[in-house]
Amino acid sequence: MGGKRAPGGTTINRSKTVTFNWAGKTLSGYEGDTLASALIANGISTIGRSFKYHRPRGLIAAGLEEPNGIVQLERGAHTVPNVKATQVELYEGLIAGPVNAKPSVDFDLLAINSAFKRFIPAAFYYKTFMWPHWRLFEPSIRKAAGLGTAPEMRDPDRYEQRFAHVDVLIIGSGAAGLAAAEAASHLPGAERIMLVEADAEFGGGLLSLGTKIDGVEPMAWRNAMLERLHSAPNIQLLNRTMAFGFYDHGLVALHERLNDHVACNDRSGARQRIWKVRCGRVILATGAFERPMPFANNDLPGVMLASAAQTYAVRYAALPGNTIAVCANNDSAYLAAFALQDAGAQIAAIIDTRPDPSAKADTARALVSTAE
Amino acid sequence: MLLIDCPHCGPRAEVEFRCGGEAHIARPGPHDSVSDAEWTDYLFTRENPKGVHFERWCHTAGCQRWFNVARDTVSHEILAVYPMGASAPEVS
Repeated sequence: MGGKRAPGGTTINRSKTVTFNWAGKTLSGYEGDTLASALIANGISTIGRSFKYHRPRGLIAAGLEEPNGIVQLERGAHTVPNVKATQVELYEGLIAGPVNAKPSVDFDLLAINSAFKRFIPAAFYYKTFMWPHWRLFEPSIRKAAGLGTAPEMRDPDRYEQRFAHVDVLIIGSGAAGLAAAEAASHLPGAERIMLVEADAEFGGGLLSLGTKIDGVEPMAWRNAMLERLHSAPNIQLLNRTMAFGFYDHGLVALHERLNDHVACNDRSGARQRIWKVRCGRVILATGAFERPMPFANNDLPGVMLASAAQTYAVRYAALPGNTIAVCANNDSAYLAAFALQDAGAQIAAIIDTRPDPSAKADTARALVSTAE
Repeated sequence: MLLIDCPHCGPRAEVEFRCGGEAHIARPGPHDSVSDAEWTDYLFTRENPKGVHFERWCHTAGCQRWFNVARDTVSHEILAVYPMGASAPEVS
């Protein structure tokens, strides 16, 4: 496949170029990129190897649901293993590399395991290697498994925790979350409202939406909403904060990343913070994950969720490929196809699994035929 | 984590409290007439209900006073908070 940088991009700042290091190579992206979007824009499609057969793996998703883009960040005491590339904000001097691939992701010696997969199937009991003795095989088998490398030095960072009590907690800042926060700010008795967003940017799906909302462009709608929320006296907005647990009696645990987006040498204060928030009401506006299409070899680089491709193209102006086939089982895939075509990709085909594709399919077909 | 309404301090997080186990267990007596079976029952036998459970709690990181709580062991809902020595309230 091989991606490239497209025009546009809702959250990248083209006036600020950021250089970073991927697997020993110096590459560049823009401020506002994630490691994943910068890799796509640089045309890198294979970013990892699978756990056992060492099959090449590329990015599938654009958010925290990413299963393949597992990377190792930085070196020495600051090293962090097994981070999702989709959640790493690019900063100047970032050092990142693949895990579980030797000597490189493009040429992995252990990919030979694929040739013997008939003999080492799923749930294969490795202690079958017992003649003359298991201990002879153990070191290399243990080395072949596992992902990132654990840091060997003491963690130089500080972490902290904080408690909060709120009347309304809204998790997620997409269209639903922003609207909910806006509505809650007018409620009598809602004196303390908190809106949390796992991403660096507020807006969720609005950042990569191709359609208008209330008759205005999604980014304009988001900005107007955020302005109103910022001026409301009773709302606290937290970005880079993921809600990860919902416990008894309205307790929600949050994980805030304070310094992970800053270059190692420029970090000051605590790196991360745990919040324990006791809430009167909790509104889950977390959105949805797209489910992948099951077919043979759908794990290989070049196969990506339609919504993720749309996010990369619209939000980060990182086109995952030049010629794209879109598999659809609902109308949203057409929006992804439109967005990808607008970003400069050639839509080779739209494969709709429904027996009676809606009117949107006709519009899409017309669009594809005129492009040919 | 539970939010327990201490009768003296107000609602506080569970970490501030210590649970003292089942409430309303009376010590048998007089001591020289208690059978081994009765004594064993007093020491070891406890209810483990699915539903309403009456238990003692101490606000160790606060007022350090003991009180009783009626708690649903399924939903963790706290149905009543009442002082030591009071009999169990009617809860559903």
